[in-house]
Amino acid sequence: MKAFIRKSFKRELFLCFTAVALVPLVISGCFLISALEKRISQDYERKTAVQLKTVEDTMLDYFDEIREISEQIMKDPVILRGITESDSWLKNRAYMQLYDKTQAFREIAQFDIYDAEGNCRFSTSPQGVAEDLPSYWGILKVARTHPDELTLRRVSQYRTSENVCLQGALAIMDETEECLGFVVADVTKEHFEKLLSGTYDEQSGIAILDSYWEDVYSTRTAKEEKLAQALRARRMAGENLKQTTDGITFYISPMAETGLYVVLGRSPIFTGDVINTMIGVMVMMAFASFLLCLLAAGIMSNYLTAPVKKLSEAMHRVENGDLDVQLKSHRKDELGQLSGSFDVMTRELKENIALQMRQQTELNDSNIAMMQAQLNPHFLYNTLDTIKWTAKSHHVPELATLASGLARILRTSISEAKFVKLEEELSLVSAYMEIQKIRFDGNFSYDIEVPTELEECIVPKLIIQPIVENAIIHGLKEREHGHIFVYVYEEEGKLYIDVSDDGCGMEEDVLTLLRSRDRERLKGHIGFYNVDTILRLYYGEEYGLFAENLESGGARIRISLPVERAV
Amino acid sequence: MTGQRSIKKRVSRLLAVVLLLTLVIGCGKQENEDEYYLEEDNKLVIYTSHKEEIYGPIIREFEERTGIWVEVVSGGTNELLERIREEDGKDTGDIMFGGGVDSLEAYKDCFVPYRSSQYDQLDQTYASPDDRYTVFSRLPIVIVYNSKLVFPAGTPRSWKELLDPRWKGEIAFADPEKSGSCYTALLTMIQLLSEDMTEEEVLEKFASNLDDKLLSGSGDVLDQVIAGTQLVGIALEETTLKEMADHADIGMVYPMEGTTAVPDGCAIIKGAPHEKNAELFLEFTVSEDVQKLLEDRLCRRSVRKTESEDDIREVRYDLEYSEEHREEILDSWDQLIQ
Repeated sequence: MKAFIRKSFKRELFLCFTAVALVPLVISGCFLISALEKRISQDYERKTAVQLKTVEDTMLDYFDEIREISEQIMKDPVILRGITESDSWLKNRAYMQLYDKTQAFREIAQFDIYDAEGNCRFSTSPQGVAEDLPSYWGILKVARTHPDELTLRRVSQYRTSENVCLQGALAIMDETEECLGFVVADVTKEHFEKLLSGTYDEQSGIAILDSYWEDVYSTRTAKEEKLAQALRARRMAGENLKQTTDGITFYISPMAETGLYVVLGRSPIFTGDVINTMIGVMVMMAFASFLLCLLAAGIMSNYLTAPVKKLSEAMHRVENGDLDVQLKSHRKDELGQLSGSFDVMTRELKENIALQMRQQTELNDSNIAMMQAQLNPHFLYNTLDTIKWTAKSHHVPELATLASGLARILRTSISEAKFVKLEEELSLVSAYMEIQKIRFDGNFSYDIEVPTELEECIVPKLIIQPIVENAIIHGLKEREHGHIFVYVYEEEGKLYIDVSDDGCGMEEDVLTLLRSRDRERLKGHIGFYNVDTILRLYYGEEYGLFAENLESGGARIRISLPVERAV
Repeated sequence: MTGQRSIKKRVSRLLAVVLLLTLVIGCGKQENEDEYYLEEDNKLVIYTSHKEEIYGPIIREFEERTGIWVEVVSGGTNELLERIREEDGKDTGDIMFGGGVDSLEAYKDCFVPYRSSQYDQLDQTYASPDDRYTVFSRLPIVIVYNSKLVFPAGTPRSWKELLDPRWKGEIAFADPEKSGSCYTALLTMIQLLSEDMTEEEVLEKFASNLDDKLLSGSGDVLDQVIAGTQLVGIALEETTLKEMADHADIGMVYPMEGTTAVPDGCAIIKGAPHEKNAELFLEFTVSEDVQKLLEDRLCRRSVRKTESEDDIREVRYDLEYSEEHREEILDSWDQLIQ
């Protein structure tokens, strides 16, 4: 993976961009979601607490009201008399009285009057009578032992279809603390519905639990969730009351002194859906930035790699010999500078090559000139041989010398070899001198001094002769007698061949001219120039000819070249 | 050098993980629910085969009076007893509430002996010899009839009458193999008629009188009689009284020869996690208030000794015989029915 990324600049850039774009996005997204969740949950919980309080207050007010009515009933002498009275008319009056008393409240509860044994005497229920209650058991027993309190008890209906959920009982005591009977208020489901409507919103379900968390009353939603049952089971099992698998969140609140509990169940504000949506948005944003990164990485890498690629292509073309490549980048950055440098480099390379070409052409020129000079050498050579022999037979020794010298020079010229032994070169020089001696009527003499060990050195042919020719033509011009001295020596691995004359020396401007190595201006000294060029082309710039005037009069041309011996 | 780098890498990875974890944990919130924590001392697990209308008020009153939270596991008698045997004292309930004393006796190894402090006030006819169970309520067997279709004068008055061919095909009775109370009824019949006829005779006559109309459960008996599909039946006094209270068209006869009233009982399970509470509950079931409520409200007969004479002629059911010959009797019954 890593190797795969490392292989491409684009991929590296992409990875980098992605990290820079996504990490802050994801982190801030997580923070945002959790902060939002916390914040909204708090709001939600506050609202729920308010609802819970409303329900609780409503219920408490309601119980107060029931207590008040019950106490009014208890104090009514007509009703009290009716409890023990067997006389039908009086019973009827008591019943009527109960009806009157509870007229305004029958909407909120039914009221029953029980005697001390738990037999129901009168009831405002639609059936006109309520079930007898055991006085030694349940609500009546507690009501009797706690006559000051309204005793509240859940009612379970096992067989009848009556829907009384809750009973509140007050014992009627006389002055001697004797129990005369009980006032029992029955709260039905309908009463609860009416009472609680408006205290909670539609998403909520409410359950009223008794002190043992049995369901007293549940709204439809709470019942569907089997809230009470589940809560009780969890509390019994010692489990967490709230469990993550719950479809709802709920809030439990004990209702003051009544022993009842209100449970408000609400569908959680942060359902999986909401969180999923938020995560979905985040993922989409992440994906979008991912794409953006991809795009940016593409553009950026193109921007960065395009010149590099161009450079690399140009380099390739240069490798293939196309030196006209120019990048002409308009960029000002490092890559632009690099492109500029490349342009300069190719340009210089091109110039350099052109120079080399020119040098090559020049070399060829001189070669051609030399070859032209070799035209018909055999004929010349034969002719010269004939001249020599004719001269010998006619006893003209000078002619014979001339002819044989010329023949020797010609032979060397004809030979294909470009390099010769120094020995041979020097014998060619002495042949040339012999000829010139005759030409100039022996007006000059010459010496060649060469250490035997250097005779075997290899030198380009015909490099000394043109210099000697120069010396004779220019140095010994208009002289009665002159001397040419060729001196060969070795110094620090270099072979030096000094050709000196004792003539008039060179003019200062000619000297400068020779040192300039400029072909155009050296027209008159073509021999000098050719030798110099040959040496330089063969051996490099440090070798060549060097001209100077001697203090004793005359000039000296020094040929320098490396010592090379025949193998 | 590479070692250092990998340590750096590891550290940064660790940091990333820690950061993520804090984020995740930060999202959750722990709530304090200690105020609703119930002490083990405050719990009781009751296995009961009673119907809710029986155990409901009793358990509720028990909760109110003691403050102990009761968890109810209800089911059939045999189902619960088998469960208790399987649980073998581990992770089990505290008390078995319900089930005939014959069944409880059969599973007595699963219970611990406990003698109620009110033992002396209780009827000891069916008392457990080694206090493995305590009786709860007596359930006499009665003959029921459809009061619309059978004239009061023509109702069967005795067990013997039920063997009369004139009731052939008119008797509602459930398979004694499936219904414990019907088996008890069958044995009661054999026991009470033993002076006049042999066991085989009783079985033979009764089986032929059923005319192959055997019901699958004792619950069907009353339904059949109420519907008039069959005119008479054999049922428990309790269920009959309840139906009568609901104004069903049935009447009830205590047979002249007398009848048996095998009680159900209550037994503390071996290995009960809340044994003290189980004892409290057992005491409560035989307390005056509960026993009174049984008679007043729940159509059952108290197991407490009473001053007044019983209105029925009750004969002690021979538990030992019934248990010993169960296979044998059921086998011959099977053959007769087929």
